[in-house]
Amino acid sequence: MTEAKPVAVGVEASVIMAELRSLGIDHVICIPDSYQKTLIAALQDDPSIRFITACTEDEAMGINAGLYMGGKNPMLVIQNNGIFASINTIKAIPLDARIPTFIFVGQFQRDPMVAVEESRSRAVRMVEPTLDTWGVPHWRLEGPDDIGNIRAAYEKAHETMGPVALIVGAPTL
Amino acid sequence: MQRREGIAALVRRLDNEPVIANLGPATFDLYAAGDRDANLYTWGAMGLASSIALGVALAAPDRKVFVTDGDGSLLMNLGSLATIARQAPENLVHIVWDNRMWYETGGQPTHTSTGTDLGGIALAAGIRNVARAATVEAFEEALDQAIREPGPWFIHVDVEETGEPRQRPKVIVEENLVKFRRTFTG
Repeated sequence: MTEAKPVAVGVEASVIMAELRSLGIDHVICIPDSYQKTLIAALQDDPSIRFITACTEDEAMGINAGLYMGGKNPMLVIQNNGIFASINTIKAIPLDARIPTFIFVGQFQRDPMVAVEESRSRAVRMVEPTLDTWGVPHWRLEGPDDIGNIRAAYEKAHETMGPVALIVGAPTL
Repeated sequence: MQRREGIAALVRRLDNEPVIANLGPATFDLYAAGDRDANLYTWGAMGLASSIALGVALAAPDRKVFVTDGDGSLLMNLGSLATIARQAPENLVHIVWDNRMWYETGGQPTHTSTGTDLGGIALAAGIRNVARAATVEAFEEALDQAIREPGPWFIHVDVEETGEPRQRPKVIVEENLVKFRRTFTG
């Protein structure tokens, strides 16, 4: 009997951190997410990054906009439900006002053994269709082979001057 | 006192300091007091002026950063007070014009009309420098102290609406953002 292979596997936080450092990220605004626990801990420990905990994703996008206008290079770390909670702000700030908004989105409650489309969690299934509806480009981080998607997503946010999501499909290691 | 009197007092004290205005009356009155590159007028995302200003204040710690907010908008983003308190930027001055109503949508009363105390909430959130003013003189005194002394500051101002027509800014959002950003990045 063969063992089932996971659809998504976690990526080491240290590998993600190296990518973020190479992009010059200097501020992270976060609404805690259990799928990015180890990444969040690494971000909090990095003296070159100012780590800001916000109360809502709306607030986080506002802070991101202010930091960007002030000449900084910020990003957001949130979970999938935060996308649904902040649609009006995504419309008004990154899309309408054209603010580069680079967002790591943890797929909270996703079973990494199951494809996103077959997930029992509505939140997991609906993130990408919701982003598509609003014209928000997105990439997946489903394992170490996807590490290049971090840079691709970041560059897209700055090229289009808008929101871009990097969807973290398994708990970071 | 009226909001435009307070904004005029603020503008008289400015050099290149950024001012972020909440959408609606705060933006209209700031524009009417004289357009400047360091003014950021917000249009969508009601309630987020204080969050945007927090980001600006953290990005530019060597400049005083002012945000002119409203009671209705702050009620939509009360968590920002806790985040401001936690980050504690010494250069941020948060001014709230409290007219006790959502003026732009027809004057429906906000929760401050029935006793919600925004200054009390700011204090409880952890912002230690909180002032309240109901006259131009009292506002100027609080503002001068906020300019002189490290913050963050929260100035709660009771204002009256006169119903007089306002000049809507002739501003293109993207141009405003580019000009505002250039005041930091050159």
